[in-house]
Amino acid sequence: MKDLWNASQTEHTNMETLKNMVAEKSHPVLKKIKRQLLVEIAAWIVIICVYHNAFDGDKRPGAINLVFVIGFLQAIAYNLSSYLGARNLIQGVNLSASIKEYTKKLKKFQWAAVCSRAVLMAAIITFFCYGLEIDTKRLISIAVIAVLFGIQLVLISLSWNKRIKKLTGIAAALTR
Amino acid sequence: MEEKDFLQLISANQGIIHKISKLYTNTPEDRQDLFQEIVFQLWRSMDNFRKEAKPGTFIYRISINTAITSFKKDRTKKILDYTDQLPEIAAETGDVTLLERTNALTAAIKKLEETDRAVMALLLEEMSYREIAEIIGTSENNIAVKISRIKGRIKKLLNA
Repeated sequence: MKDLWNASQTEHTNMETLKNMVAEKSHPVLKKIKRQLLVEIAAWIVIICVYHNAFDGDKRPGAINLVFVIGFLQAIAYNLSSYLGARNLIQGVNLSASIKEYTKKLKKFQWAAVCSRAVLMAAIITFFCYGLEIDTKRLISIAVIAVLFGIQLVLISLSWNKRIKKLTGIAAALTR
Repeated sequence: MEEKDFLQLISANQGIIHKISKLYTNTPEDRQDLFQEIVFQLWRSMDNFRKEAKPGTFIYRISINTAITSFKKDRTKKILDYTDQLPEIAAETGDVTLLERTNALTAAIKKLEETDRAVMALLLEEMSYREIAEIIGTSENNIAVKISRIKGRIKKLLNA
């Protein structure tokens, strides 16, 4: 088996290609994450810039405006920090320690992702519902929106759970 | 370490990265992405490279770590088909090519759990139980038990 392993053919990657691979801008996964985050951040920045006129921010108290802006700013901050965190996969001096540490980090990111999105949703609902006369129809509409937001939070959490569960299993299997 | 020295080190040891990329992916596109991810992670980890450690050991550790922890889009669940003969038996009969036999071995290893694939790759690189235990982060005894179990599973897979 060792002879076969040693005899197995591998491709050859030239120096120029290797040099490009070291650059973050050519990283296949980070490039996609970066593009997605930049689009999201750009959209949020546009909202922050235009909401005052477009969504009658001037007719609401300063505190409500502040909640709305903070909601978006913290979401932008989370996006940037998650991008920076996604770059470092190696967290320890051996596989077991590294995967355990990385899993801990993912759990923190999971909570941060859910909390950040929940704060953003709460800020949006607070802003748009402020000053509204709440009748039954509006109450039902707000409830439906809140439920949809809740479902989104559950889906975000579940997508993180899947990866965390897999890595926890791998970490346990390494020392079993 | 300077980028130039790093690239020379990677170029000289790229066979390791290609082998690990092959063991943890199912399509050429995924393999290429994982190869790049490993090179990127190696570059970011170079500050932690201790001169006393063998470069090959360090590259294996980071490569396996990256292969296991990186987020992989599984473009296909289909695993490569592999021949149903033990390589040793195939060699005796002489009716299959070396390429087919190496592919059969690779395919059999890919059927193992991700952690067992790592141990098997390190064993095939002729690392000692102690070296494997250090890379994995467990005891030599544990590695010995694992290897015994993995060898049995590989034989079953190749005989199936």
